[in-house]
Amino acid sequence: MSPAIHANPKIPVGRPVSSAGSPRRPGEPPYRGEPPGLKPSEVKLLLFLGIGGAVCLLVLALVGFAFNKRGDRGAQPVVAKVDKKPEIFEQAVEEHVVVERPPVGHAFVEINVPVMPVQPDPKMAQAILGKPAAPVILPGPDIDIDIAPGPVAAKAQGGEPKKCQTCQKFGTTIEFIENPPDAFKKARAFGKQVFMVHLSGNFEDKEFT
Amino acid sequence: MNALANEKVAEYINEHFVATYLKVGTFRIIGGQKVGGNVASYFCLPDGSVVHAVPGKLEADAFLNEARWAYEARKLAQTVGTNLVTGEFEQWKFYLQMKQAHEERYYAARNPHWVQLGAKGGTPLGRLPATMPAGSNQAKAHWLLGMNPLAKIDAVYPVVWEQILNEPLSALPVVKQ
Repeated sequence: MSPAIHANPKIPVGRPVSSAGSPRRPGEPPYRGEPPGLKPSEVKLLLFLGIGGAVCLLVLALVGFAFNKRGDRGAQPVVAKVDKKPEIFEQAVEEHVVVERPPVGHAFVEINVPVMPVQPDPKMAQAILGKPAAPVILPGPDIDIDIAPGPVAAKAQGGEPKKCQTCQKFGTTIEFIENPPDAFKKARAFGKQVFMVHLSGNFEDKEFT
Repeated sequence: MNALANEKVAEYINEHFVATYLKVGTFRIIGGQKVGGNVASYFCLPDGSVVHAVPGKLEADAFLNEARWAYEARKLAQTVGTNLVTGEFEQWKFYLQMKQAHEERYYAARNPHWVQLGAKGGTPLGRLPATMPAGSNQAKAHWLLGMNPLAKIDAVYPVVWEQILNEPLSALPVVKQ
């Protein structure tokens, strides 16, 4: 018989309990004990990092707040610039009403927010649309050019056709303006196209044409 | 310059256009004979956009046809591009109409029989070629303006002068030898 059978029954028999707590399960790392306390230098470092981080956050917050405020001040309602404000639109701005479509000849977008429409550039519109209702003589620079209406327009006005002072004909019956920029200016004023001749030689000299 | 001396041409030009000129090339006179040199005519809007270009010399009747075409094409494009009710002008419609007009002229110049058969408008042969094709100077001009409708004259005239007319751009005076 085994001697274990005759063991004293008063001695408790069971699993041994260690003072470190529950037994280690297989595969668990060994117990290393409680971690040691922080050194003073490490405490200082942690304190420094904590305070530094807090200061950075505060600075960022202030900057963001200041930027926000400036952005609010800069944001203004966009108003289209026009040379003249028609009365109907001024009234609409005051009364905050929907602007009705204006008479023929004007173009704008109908919206509920009172916004000044952008008037098309009259010079460009006239240049594209061709002959204006009445000849418009633009105030030019100091260039002395004769922009009087040609023979057809003058007859329509009841006057005699006025001769072009700065035009030359060069052996033709076409009135040529010597300076191309002046010709384009005159064409813009009278809503005409420009007929431009590019050539080798000198137009003024028959031999050199 | 025979076409410009024609009375009908002069009357039409004086009525519908403002005429001007510019020397862009030169030539030499050797033994009394003119060597080199050419002429090109442009019909432009007041902002410098080219409506039509006529490279080289033409007879009076042909030149008058070109001048009339330039005037009428611009008028048609302007009408198409304008809302006749509101007066609103749409630049892109004007641009497209001019492009189509030049395409039609290009294909008519390349295929005269197509015009004789009375074919309807449009470009039955599809898009314009990607590069300048061979053919008459006028067909090349229509190709150029069909690919670049309403291009500015500063950009068009060097191509017309150097690539279509094969003339060098020059500000040199005429040399008589």
